[in-house]
Amino acid sequence: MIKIDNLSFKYGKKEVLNDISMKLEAGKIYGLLGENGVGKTTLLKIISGLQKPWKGSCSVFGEDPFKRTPSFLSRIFYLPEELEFIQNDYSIRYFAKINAPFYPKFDKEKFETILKEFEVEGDKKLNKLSYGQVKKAALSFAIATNAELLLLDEPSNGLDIPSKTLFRRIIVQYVSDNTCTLISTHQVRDLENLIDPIIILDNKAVLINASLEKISEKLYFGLYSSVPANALYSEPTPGGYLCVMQNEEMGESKVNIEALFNATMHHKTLIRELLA
Amino acid sequence: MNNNIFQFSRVGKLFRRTFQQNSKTFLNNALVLAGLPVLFLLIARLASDEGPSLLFRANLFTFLIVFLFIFSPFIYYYSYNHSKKGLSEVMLPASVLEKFIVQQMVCMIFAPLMILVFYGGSDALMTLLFPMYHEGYVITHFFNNILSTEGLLLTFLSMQAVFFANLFFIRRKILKTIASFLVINLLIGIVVLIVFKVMESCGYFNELAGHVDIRVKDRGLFEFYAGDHPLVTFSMILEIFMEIILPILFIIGSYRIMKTNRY
Repeated sequence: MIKIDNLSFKYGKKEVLNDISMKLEAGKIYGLLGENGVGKTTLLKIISGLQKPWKGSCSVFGEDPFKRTPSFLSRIFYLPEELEFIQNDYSIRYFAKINAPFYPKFDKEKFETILKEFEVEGDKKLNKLSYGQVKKAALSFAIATNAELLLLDEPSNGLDIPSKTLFRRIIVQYVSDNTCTLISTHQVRDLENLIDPIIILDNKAVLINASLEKISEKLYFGLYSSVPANALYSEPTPGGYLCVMQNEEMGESKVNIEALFNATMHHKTLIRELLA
Repeated sequence: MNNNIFQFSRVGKLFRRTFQQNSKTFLNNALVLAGLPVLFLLIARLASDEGPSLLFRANLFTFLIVFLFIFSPFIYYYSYNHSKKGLSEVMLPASVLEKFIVQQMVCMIFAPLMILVFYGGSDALMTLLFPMYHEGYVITHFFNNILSTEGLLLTFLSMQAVFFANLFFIRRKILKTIASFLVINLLIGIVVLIVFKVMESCGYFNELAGHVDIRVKDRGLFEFYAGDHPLVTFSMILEIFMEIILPILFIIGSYRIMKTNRY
């Protein structure tokens, strides 16, 4: 579905992405993780056709996204972190009324259901809603478009704790099975139990693009009373230390995404090679 | 035609969306425009025994129509190239050509039509209802005495320049547009001055005794004659540049920006 080959991108002289390559498939919810400023948003913008690669190529549904053809645009939905594009003097229902005709697979019933589940006031003006409410309203519309590619930039920002839980459930429940969802975030805990595979961007490059199964096969996440000598990463937790180690026939463990992220930041080359 | 380039159904959807999205602005504009002739009549009656003169109403009508026509891109599409606000437009599943055509049509046809219908209509109604205080019809006066091909072409040029500036500039658009207009006018003035000086130094004005009958307005835009004075030829070339070439350049430039703009 998405094929990125040796892609590089610069803002002026500042290099943001350097020679990255990856493939993304339909029917998966990818988590795009990375520290602030590593190029997550830029990558989403390139995939959605808002930016053009400086070098290399990005192909989505076999076409160049930057051409922004109507058929391409009707198959994707990009939800940016900042929602100024939607904060208008009308309600989300009105927004849906005027924009839905452009999305052939838009499901009004699904839209209303998600709005209800999110407890969004569908008839209240968007510029009068709180940031979290606007985010939920925008998410409802995005999911209801049934786009084949859903690009969500920091979707959990601004959501309260119950809404974050609800967000995860709604994504799992309502996003179509054949949709490729790419969620960019630096709040990895918000997306626990939702994202698989995981992509970690750092220093302008892709460190990891692997499924949880593969990660669990190569790395072991365990709770220890003291830090083992072979631990790649450890952090104190109530009751001991959460450690990340190479999985040397230790069996499967539940991947802790935050610990994976921190371990990767400490041992970039090793983990990159392990999960290559 | 390729489905991804142009489709009437998508253009229709874009028009509908534009009107739905701007319905409040349109309604407010319509109310203000329709209210102006009533207001002028009231003020004039309160201040004197007479109603507002046809000349005053027609001048105001012309000013409004020219102003709204020229600045309509700012009114309806100010945020199009904004990195955040513009996403609702740029990511809308329609081709750039379709979006461009709709924007041009809204600015070129809809904006002036609003004034014709609401201001002109209200003015006509006042004349019908109070003929003793409200003399004549501004629309008739405008079409018979004010509207000219020359004026229309210059207004069209200005509108295309604003359309281009609205896409070219991202911040402080109005200020930068006005500044650019001044700079461009200054540059054209300098070019004209240089050409005059060159002609003078070449002796083209020697036999004219301080008088040259140009009257190029009486001619067609491309009506060149072999015996024309170089000044006449230059004036016509300048006119073609201003009224034909420059608007075309602005149209191509605007489309190009819409096609290649990054967000």
